[in-house]
Amino acid sequence: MHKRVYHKFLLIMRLTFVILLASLMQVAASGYAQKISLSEKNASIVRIFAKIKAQSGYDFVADGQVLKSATPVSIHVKDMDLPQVLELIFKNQPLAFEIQNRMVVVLSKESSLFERITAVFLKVDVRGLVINERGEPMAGANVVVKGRNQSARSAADGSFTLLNLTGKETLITSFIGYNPDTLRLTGQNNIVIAMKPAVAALEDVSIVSTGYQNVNKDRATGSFGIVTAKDLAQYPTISVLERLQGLVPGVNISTKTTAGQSRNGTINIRGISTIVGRYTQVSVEPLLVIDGFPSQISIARGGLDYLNPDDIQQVTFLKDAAAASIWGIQAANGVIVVTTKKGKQNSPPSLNFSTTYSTSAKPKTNFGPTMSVPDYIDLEKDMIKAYLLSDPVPGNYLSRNNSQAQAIIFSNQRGEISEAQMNAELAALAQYDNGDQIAEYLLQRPATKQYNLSMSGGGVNSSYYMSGFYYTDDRVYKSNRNKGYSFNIGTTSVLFKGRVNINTSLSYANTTDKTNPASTTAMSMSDLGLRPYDMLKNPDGSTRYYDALVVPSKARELEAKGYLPFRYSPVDELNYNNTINTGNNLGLNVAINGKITPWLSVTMSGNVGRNFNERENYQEPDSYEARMMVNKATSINSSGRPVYGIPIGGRLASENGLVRSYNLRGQLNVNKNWNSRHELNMVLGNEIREVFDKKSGEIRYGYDKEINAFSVVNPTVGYLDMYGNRPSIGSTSGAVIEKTTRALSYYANAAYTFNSKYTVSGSGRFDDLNLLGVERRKRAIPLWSAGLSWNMKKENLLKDIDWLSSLSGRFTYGFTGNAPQGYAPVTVIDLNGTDSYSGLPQASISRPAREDLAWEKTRMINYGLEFSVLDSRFAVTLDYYRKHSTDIFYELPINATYGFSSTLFNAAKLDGKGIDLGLSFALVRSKQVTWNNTINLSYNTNIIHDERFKLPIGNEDVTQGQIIHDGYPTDYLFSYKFAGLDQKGETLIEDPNEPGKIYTTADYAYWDIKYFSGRTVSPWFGAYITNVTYKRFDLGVQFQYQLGGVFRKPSVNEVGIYASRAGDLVQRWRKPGDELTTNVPGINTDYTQGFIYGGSIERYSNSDLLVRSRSNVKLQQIRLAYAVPQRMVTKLGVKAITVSAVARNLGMIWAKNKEHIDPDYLYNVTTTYQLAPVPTYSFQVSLSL
Amino acid sequence: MNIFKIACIAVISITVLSCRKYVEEVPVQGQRVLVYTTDYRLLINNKNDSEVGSGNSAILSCDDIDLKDSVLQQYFSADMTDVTMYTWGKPFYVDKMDDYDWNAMYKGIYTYNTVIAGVLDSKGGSFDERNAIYAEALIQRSFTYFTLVNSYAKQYDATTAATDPGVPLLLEAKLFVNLERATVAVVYAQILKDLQLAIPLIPVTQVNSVKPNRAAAYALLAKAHLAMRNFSAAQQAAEESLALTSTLYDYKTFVGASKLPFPRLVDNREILLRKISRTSYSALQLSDDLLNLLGSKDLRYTLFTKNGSTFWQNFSGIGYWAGNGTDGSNVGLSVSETWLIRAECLARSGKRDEAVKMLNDLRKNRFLAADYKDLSATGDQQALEMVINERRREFFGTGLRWFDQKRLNKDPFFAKPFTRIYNGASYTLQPNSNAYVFPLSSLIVNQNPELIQNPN
Repeated sequence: MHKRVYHKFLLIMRLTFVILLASLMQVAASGYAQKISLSEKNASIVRIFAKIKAQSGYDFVADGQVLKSATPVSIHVKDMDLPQVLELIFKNQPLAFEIQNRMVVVLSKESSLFERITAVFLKVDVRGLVINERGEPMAGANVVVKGRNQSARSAADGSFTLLNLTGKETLITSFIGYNPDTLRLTGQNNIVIAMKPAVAALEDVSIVSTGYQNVNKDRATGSFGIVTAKDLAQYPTISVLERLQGLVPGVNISTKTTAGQSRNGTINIRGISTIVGRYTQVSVEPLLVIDGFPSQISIARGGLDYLNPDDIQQVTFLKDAAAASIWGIQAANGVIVVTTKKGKQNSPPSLNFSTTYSTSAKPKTNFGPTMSVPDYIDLEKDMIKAYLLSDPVPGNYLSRNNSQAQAIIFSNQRGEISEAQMNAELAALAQYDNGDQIAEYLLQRPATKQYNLSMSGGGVNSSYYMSGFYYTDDRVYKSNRNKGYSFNIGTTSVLFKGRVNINTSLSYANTTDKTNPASTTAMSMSDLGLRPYDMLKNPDGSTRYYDALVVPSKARELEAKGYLPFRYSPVDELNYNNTINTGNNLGLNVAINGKITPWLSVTMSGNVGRNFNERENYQEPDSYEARMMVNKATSINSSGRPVYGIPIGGRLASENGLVRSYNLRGQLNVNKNWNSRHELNMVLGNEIREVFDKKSGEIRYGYDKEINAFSVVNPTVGYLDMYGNRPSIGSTSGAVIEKTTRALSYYANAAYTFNSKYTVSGSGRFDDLNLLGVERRKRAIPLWSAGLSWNMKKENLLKDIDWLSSLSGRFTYGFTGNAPQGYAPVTVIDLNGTDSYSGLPQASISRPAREDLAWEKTRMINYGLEFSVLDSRFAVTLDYYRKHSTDIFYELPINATYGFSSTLFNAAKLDGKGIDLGLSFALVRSKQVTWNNTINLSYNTNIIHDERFKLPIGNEDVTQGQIIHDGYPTDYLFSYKFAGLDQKGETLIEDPNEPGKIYTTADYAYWDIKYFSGRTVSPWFGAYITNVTYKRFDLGVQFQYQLGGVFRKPSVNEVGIYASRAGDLVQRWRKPGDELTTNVPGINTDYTQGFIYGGSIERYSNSDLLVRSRSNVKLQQIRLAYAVPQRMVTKLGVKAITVSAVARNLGMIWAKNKEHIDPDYLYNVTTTYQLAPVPTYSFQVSLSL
Repeated sequence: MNIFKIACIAVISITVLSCRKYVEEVPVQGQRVLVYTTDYRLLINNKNDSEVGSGNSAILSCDDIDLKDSVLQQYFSADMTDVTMYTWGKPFYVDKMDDYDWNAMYKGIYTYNTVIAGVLDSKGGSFDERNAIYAEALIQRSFTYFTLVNSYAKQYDATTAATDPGVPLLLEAKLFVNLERATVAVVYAQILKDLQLAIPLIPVTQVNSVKPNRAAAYALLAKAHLAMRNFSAAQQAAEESLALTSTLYDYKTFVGASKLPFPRLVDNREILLRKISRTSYSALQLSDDLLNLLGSKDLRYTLFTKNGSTFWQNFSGIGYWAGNGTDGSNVGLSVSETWLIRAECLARSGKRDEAVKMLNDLRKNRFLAADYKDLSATGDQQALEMVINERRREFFGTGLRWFDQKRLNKDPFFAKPFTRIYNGASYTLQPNSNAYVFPLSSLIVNQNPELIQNPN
């Protein structure tokens, strides 16, 4: 079976390529021959007309009754002019003809002389002018004569001419971005057509795509959210996720740009319907569908990053069960359907180019409250006093670089320098602060550049769209850069008189991501992290070096013996140890649609995808990492020479990933209308899908990139290392991991509409997956949904109420589920390859057999109401939904005596509900000025129900990704009740159930005395978008807000051997009596009671003292665009130029918490330096030819 | 075009795709359901499941160790679990802490139970092959239960074993069964039964010491009988084992100028079944008592100790150092242990000369010729004491001594209190104290209340 499918695919791939080429060529050959060659005997006149049409492109217009009188034609001509050929054909016919503007009108010869004379006299040549809302001529507007195959395009001065009209026709004028204009001629031959721009906010998107079919929104019962290309164009970021932020109610997108890494984030549609466990393999991410097929790369793995944001025509969010259920079990978290741009038939070639340059404010290293350098040195003193740090000199070795201050203090303790000397040296050290040097030498202004070029157009039977995209993204950390490019070619061909329609598209994208850890390492609290007084450069401008691993005296001694230099400088490291991640994504889609009857068609479609990912980390021989790797593996032999356990040189670690996928789908489509009262839309289909995922990796030692040479090492033979241990290198090649996911699905979706008022819909789907060890019966369950919608405006009662533009209601109910993946009813073993120690091939049982696991099920109900008033100036979409999930998978601790310390259970029920509200209102809609506003508001909450979670069981808080608690939402925050400090500087907490009961030491029931502080996700969130256009200016402002919810203010970290600069540490308790003035516990360690400090800081940092509200409003973006006047543009030979300037991430304009902390950018008290979020400024130029 | 023709093509093309066999492809390469004998072979080869023997608790509790150095004590104080073990206190694991020794051993038991239940009906292997895998799983399970019952239950005593709580005896790979502790007698009966079933089926030789051979099975049988004080049965089993393998390395070849590398545990022919302890603490200061017994001429001193100043956390004194000679400490089964079991049984049955001869034969391999002197015993008790002392010298630092201390409480001569001073406080371990029975982690006791905790 597998082989056959594969061959079929190869064939389709080849065919597609041919079709692609052929259709492109057809487009190019758009000129028609005017010479006619014909050779026919007794042919019907209709056949003759068709042949001539094919050769000349001329249309024939005739009354069917008239043609009935025609006699068969015999004709033999070669390369004859059209009029002469027509003369020959009509010679013996009871018919006459007239040639009008590439059209042959066939008339009855019997028509009276009078008729024929009037016909000639009544012919009118209409001349017109198309102008825009500002009265300026519009070039390229399309003017079509209704009912006739006749059209004109306005010239650069806005003028057009239509010849030989009767003067009674209707003209329809269209221009992208403008409402079509309909004008009924009443005999005039000089007309002016004034176009009105489409109002963006109120733009009615009437077609939504589910990926399987396009649904007319008026007749949809489900809940959809739509973002158009125009919306996306307002936000000039490379990240599609960032562009989508705030645009659709019910869709929560969080992206964090603090570190300048814009392309990551999470997306969540209507909250969650399952729980993220550490071992559960259930995805909580919405399904990403691109042009009808699921993306082979998930959103989390960068599925959206391979898309050119300018190629996106529309993004449809399928929010409720009726919308999403067509995608089956993959749709449990909603579906995001992306459709890319296609060319339009009968449109001239158009070329669009845009470029965007973005930069940010200068990076700042002092985000959040930080300690001053003298305070930091003081903390180090206290740490030494409290035995948190010990003097490394006697042992010579360090686990991390001993700080300069610590070296001074220990030197005093060893009696090498006096107390006064120590204080003087520390005071001198306190003069330094490296914040500015870090910003100067390790950071840069983040900058992005984007270039996009696209071309589209189409002939009578085909269309094309091509685009190319290139971007670069310099991150805030120096030597960190992301760049990429993509190409996309799509064509549509119409064959067999419109009965067959072929769509093909081919896309390729490449991303290259270079990361260098030097800056982040230097700014962290890791072994190589800098202390605040550690300068990068000496006062004379030379690079400053530090020693790590060993104390300086030992380092010099070892270097003298032949060890490589121990010196470390983050500035040097910027040049080394880069990781380059290259992704290549290739996609090919083919869809062939054949019409069987006017209402029935069949679609066969397929998709092949390939994704290659290569990750290479090269530690150059001079890099600190490579030098230390060699040094750690070096010993000195009896003759005093160094023996290298690992070859001197670099280290190259490479990983390769391959994802290949294919889909094959057969689908019947029904679109049937009876008596304009009954309408049936139905799809019925079947598909197969396979995704194959493979990863492998290896490490090479002694690597030299210049000549690609490396040393072969023996992974199992031990060597003597620097510390006198005898480790071995270990395996140099990683495991080869392969995974094949297969699905076989049947689906159907039908909607019946009566009188354009009432719609009933239903869908069902059956997914069968390759789950190892699961028998057929248990592998799949049918999933379904049903819905109703009612267009109330069409009821007689409301039909005539003028101020009410529209009113409709919707209702859906659906059922989706998830199979218990990762667990099987029988024992499954993992083959682990050969054990490097025993030399034996081996396998393991990673999960116990589970016969009792059931499917996870979610039921969802949705009520929707939509109305608009006052000529659609004010429009509302309101959805209320409830979700009920049962048998949710949850990894619970079990008694480890069974052999496993946790396993999967159908543990909990989850009740969710929410509201999605979209409001739009046009406050001004005049010729010169428009002012549109959109408010998106979402509410979402959930509650867990399960008796088992009344109290925590066992060690769940360490094994689970998400801890759940009966009667509380999944994102709860629990706190201790803070009750001050005691005389030892330790945190006291009060039992929230028993006022006055105070706990001091670790001797308390851990969970019982915490209480609920709130949710960590704001239940209310959304955006306010306002747009003002004045003449050629367009000003857009986006605000984002969140209301409700809590977070814990970062305060202090646990002070072990590492210490951060957390500002609150200054207020720490130091001596008895301090507890009266401060709430920050001390760092003292009482040996007689073990390490109690850890408990104290844990109680403090989990206390209600630090809980703050999340509510805030942010100014997300301001955009000002200007369309350059036509007269200036035409001189450049360009159709239109728009320039725009955008400022993003402008920060909070209101926050409920008194410290004005942004809950989305919490500073981390466990690192030394924090980067503040900074505004981004973009400048964009786009032009079309 | 003919509508029906197109419709037919459409229907056929749609149904062509609908074959449920399509989704019966194995999803993850490298994941299998257990069908073939080779699947079970791979599973029983799993070193990670089977290598865990007795752990930290035995090493820190035994009298080989005496952390006298005050700096070492301060450093050691960081881990309350270690301190509790060292001072013979309880509980070791508080709140939600796992006892990873227990967990690892029961993980192994799940694997052995899976193999025992399925391998005999598996496909593709020969009769002997299936039996050999079956026997291997039985021996591994026996060893694991032997370690468990010796660590977490009272020493076997024929008079009370039928009522003393042992450990949960899980013989099927099943979750959610009752975890009531089987009695010590029942656990020992299972150990002996499994071994007797396995001995005729297990091959005489194995590829390396990760897998038990027939000598290992006899050695374990000898060890179990010794623990049950059935000395004649222990002697008989030890002799069966030594008849198959009695290789003893001559340590002279590992010291001095030639400096031959000591074989890794896995290749060490003295080791019958390799088990290691999950030791987390490296600076183990050896007691003066042990060092006096060992003397500085003994090659075991040369190979397995190191000056305290050379440790990561340096201290004044001498520390145990497995790394000098080999890649770790074996807490499984070895020829020398079986050798000494036989010697002990001889001594206990009045054959003191034979016993002392065995000791001398062993010791010849543990000294340079110049330093070697014959031992001789004048009384049976002295001979027995010599054997026990030789066991201390042979197995110090591995924690095996702890089980000897526990076992010898049943001999009035050896039953004596032990005392150690830690952070200024004095701690005493009385003979047959409850401290000889390790506590279960409170986590598993709370999870399954039928699992009764050991008394404090």
